[in-house]
Amino acid sequence: MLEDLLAEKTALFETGVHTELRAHENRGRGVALNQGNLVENNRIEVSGVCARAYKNGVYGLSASAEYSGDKIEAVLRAATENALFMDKRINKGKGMIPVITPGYVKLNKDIIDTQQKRIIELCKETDNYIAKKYTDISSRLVTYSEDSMEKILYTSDGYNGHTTLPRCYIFITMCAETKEGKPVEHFAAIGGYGSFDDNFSNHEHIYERIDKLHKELMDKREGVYPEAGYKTVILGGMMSGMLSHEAVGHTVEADLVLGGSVAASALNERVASEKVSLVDFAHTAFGKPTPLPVYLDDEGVPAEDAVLIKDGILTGYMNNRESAMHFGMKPLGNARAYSFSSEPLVRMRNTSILPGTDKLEDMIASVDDGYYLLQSQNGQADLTGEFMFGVSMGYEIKKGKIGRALLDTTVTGVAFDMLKTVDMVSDKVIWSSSGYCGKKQPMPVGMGGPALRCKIMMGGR
Amino acid sequence: MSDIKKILDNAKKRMIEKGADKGQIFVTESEAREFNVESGEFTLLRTVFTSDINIIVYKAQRKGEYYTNRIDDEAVNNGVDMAVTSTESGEYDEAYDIAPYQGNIQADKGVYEPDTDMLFTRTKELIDDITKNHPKIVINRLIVSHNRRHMVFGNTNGTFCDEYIGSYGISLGIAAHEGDKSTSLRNSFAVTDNLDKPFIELGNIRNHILITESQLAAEPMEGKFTGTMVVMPDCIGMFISPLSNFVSDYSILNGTSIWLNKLGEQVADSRVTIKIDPCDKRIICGETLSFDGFKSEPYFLIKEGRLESFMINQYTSKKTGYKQAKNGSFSVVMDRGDRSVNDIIGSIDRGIIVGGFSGGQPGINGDFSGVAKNSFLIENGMITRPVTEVMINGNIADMFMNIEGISEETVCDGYDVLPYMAFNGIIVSGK
Repeated sequence: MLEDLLAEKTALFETGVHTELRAHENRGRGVALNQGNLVENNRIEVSGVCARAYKNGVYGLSASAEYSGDKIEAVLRAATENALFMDKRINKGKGMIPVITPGYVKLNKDIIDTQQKRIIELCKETDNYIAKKYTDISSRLVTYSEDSMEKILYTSDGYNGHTTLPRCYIFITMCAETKEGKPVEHFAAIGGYGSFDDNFSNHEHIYERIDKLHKELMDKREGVYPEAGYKTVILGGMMSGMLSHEAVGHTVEADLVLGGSVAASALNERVASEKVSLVDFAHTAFGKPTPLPVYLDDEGVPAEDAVLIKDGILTGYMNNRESAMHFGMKPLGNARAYSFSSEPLVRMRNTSILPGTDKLEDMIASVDDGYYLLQSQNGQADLTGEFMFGVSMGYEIKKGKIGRALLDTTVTGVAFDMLKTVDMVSDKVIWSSSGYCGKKQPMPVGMGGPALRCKIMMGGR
Repeated sequence: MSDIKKILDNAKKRMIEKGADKGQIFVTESEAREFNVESGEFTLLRTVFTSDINIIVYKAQRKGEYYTNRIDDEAVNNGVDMAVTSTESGEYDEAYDIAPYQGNIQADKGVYEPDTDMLFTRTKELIDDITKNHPKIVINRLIVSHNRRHMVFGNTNGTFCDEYIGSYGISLGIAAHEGDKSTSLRNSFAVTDNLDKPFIELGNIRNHILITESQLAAEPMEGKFTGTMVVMPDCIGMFISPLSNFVSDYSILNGTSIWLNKLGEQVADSRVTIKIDPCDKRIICGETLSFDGFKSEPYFLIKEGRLESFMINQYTSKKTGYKQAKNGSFSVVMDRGDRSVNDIIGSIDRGIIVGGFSGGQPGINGDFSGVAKNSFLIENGMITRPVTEVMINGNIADMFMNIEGISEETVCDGYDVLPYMAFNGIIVSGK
């Protein structure tokens, strides 16, 4: 764990300059077995110190990989000089950002290291299970990935704190061939918040997930292309999580709102059916810890939930301290930095549509001709609210019954149009947390949601 | 700056002392200076000093690897020890190896010392130009940087490489706005080794601005048709990079590549030649040494439509018997075609011009579907209107066999050299 070398340097914060000082470590552990061959066996540690200074509307930032007393002083000086350089040339003349009452966020969780040998053993056991049980697949890949983040933060006017965000997963990818000899692929992520022993102290849940993955792959092997066009679909919880994040979340990030996103002119207006409410949760949701809890952001703001849509009305944006000042909103801890050299950007934490009262079975039964979309591989969104998700697992729905599986496809729509078509919302939320959001820097995020019945554009044939 | 050559020597020595049979080490020191602009306004000046060391060790044909960005003695010694320890839990594999002796390689590429004042001036010039001459364009995010790196490499077969590289990078994200209408976000990238030209002249940046402005008139397309897709040069990479699914370590090693038995065979139209060439003078600061420690040389991925090489490393080569790629980069240099882009468009009855693509990761069988961005409809040989909410569907492997034309015009952004390409048989669907 990081040693606190920063506290004694806060005396060097320049008067009249908002300053943040952060020690930051990213740690990675990776093992990969491709067809049983150990193709990856690595340990990664990236750490350093970063200072950011704000003066009259511009920031200066400096970072160094060396975390020592001398370097902390050097980055503090350089960040302040950079802010002054920019202020002198740009002369924006904006005032100071509003002060936040000081406080301290205590360490939320230790990061526990695990011997590489145990990780390799877990991967080999998992690989052996697949190789022995499933001889009808053409290839298998077992990957272990841990990416943990630790930060110590001091600010000139805000909360200080020491926080961590550990997570680890096993990713299983299986491939099979169709009757025509075409390869099809499917994958699953198993794991979550915490270290190795938090997630993999027993293996039964891994095997159960592998069995389900294999069944879905066999369905997909017999899969068909969906019919391209505007269709009624049931989005499963993982898909509605992707919708929450990509289609809505990004458009209401304040930096993108300032860049002209569609949400700029939609505040306090109806953007979805009354069945849709959407929240970016900080650390607790529905009485439980969120998949990736965030307690403090990197601008010294203690993290709170951001209510973005309430009963279909757009009620807020996600902000950093400067954009919150611009919009007259309260900053809620959305400014997050990925690595020691990164500046905090407006980011999501754990974004989810709130559950409704419908039962999934009833929702499927209500569709005469449509699709049940279960798993997404990636997604992107645009300032216009136009979004795209890759769909890696889904089924036809014919006369209210689940039909044939689908081959890989893509869905698209315009968020604030598509959300108005939501007319059923299930009572159960499903979360995922293994992915990264990409927006200049990567960032671990949680996303989730209930199943939704809605209309969407399907890719296909 | 640290003496990274000394750090390399000490780490190599310790590696042997700890019982490694063979291994390789990269040590780098980097510095970045970066201006950030958001919503058209300067927001941040950033300077970052970083370093890293990557250690790969083989002991009794078992592999261990460690990476850290600390290069002080304690961290490096710990890193070597960790890598050696990792080998003990690794698997025995005959195929693990390092590159044979490649010589003593010296490289000095690009511009190592930045002209920060001129970098600021060029950045401000671009913002002012867009503000004055393209008032409907909003700069969502502009990042202009100078990045430099000193890297040394050594392996236990005696190869030594000492490389200095430096370049200026531009990343521009723009959208057009007029009243309540706004366009898709469009990103442009370029890298250069000089500040002689205004940034708007680099890569395809000026063209992107003009296209984005014209997208304000875009309307959703109705219906579905099968037609020809003309892909702009800066978007063509999004259709070339999925080809790596068929030639990568992953798919060759596990045997799932649909091109596994196609070396020397026709996999694309005979007009298609794709060279992977980090040594081309138009590629800024191209790769000197592959990650395996081989001196980088150009090679043909596809020559006149025939598959010439897989993009595999030394390990996969030894496991499968196929030749390894001659470099580890993805610096794509494509041969130009023999028709102008206007001539190609003029020959298309029904199709779409695609400037951007937002799609799911194409499957290993090559199937893809996604949203066409910054796109225009082609009807009877004419560009008739900008369109939005359009999906395109097809198969990457089939596309490259079914080419309508390749343009004589190419665009170089410092990363790649690419023409316009037109593909037949694409399913285009609207609302």
